[in-house]
Amino acid sequence: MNCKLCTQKAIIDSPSYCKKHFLKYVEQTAKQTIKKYDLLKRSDKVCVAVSGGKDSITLLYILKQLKYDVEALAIDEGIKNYRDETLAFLKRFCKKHKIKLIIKSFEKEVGKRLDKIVKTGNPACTICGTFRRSLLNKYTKNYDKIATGHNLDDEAQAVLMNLLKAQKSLYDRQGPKTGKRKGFTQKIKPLYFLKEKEIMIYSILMNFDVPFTECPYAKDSFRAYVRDELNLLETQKPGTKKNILLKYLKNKSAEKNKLELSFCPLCGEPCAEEICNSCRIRKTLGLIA
Amino acid sequence: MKVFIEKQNKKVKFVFEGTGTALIKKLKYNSEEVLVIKNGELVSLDEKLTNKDTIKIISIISGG
Ligand code: SF4
Ligand SMILES: [Zn+2]
Ligand SMILES: [Zn+2]
Repeated sequence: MNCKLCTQKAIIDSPSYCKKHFLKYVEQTAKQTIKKYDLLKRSDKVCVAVSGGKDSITLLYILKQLKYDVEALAIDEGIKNYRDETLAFLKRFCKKHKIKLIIKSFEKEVGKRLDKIVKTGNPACTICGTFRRSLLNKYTKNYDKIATGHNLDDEAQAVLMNLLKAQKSLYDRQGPKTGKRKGFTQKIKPLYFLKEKEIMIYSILMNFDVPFTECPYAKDSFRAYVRDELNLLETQKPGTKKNILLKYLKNKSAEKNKLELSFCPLCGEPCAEEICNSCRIRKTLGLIA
Repeated sequence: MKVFIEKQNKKVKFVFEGTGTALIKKLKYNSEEVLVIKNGELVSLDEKLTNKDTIKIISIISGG
């Protein structure tokens, strides 16, 4: 099979592109998403939330290539045999590409490493996600946008998961960008229309050398189930994942999120209840009074 | 054919001739989950693979 734009051999099937045209396609797709959904202004100061995985690294690299004013923020949850390697990689990568990297740790910010929190039988991902989101927002106050590496697969899975669980509120909150809400830095997803497979290929072709270690707590069996079913559908009917997102965006209610927000009296972060989720968990864990 | 399945760190050897699509099917993978590397080069799935080739199967799925 040849590239649909030149006479070179294709390295990927659909769309069939050679290496050069595939790299271009990935960058163009991100660029078009940014433009179409008005994700970034030229003057914006962007903070890329980086995990050190292929998605966030690809995003960071592409935004830098597109000459946006980017910095990177990584969260060190305190996960042995995982985070140290990815952080070392991130430091090398950011140094090489002259990108400022900021690292905030659970140990210092929350009061305990995730490994220790989990030892007492607490659910790793719920706690990890809550603290991470809270720190991400807290340390991006002087940026215009937070960019995350969510891809087409992540997002199509999320739409289905929320439908299956009938979580209307979460369903309303997806899309290439979050709405503007007081106290929250706006989040954008420039890789929204790129498949996980495409980002994987991009990171291999670009020789990013992303470490393949996985978080030892990653065991979301419901997501894995949805992912496998979706992959099956996609092979039987190519384009299914993208169609889910396009239909979702079409149906998404134009109604603005009218949720009344207040601010947490303990940490000053925005929250929907009396105190924020992060402080509530820290209280239960005995990390604050 | 020598096949290295990266994720499981497993090396297997068997007789096989056919396309990347057929090989993926034989190994019970889904084309959304894996990439086929033939003699060190990423190839599209209609690529003919022969017994002389060294193949690496890379898993796309990862956590985080
Ligand atoms: S898999 Fe769970 S515990 Fe690990 S980094 Fe992700 S959210 Fe945190
Ligand atoms: Zn080409
Ligand atoms: Zn709080």
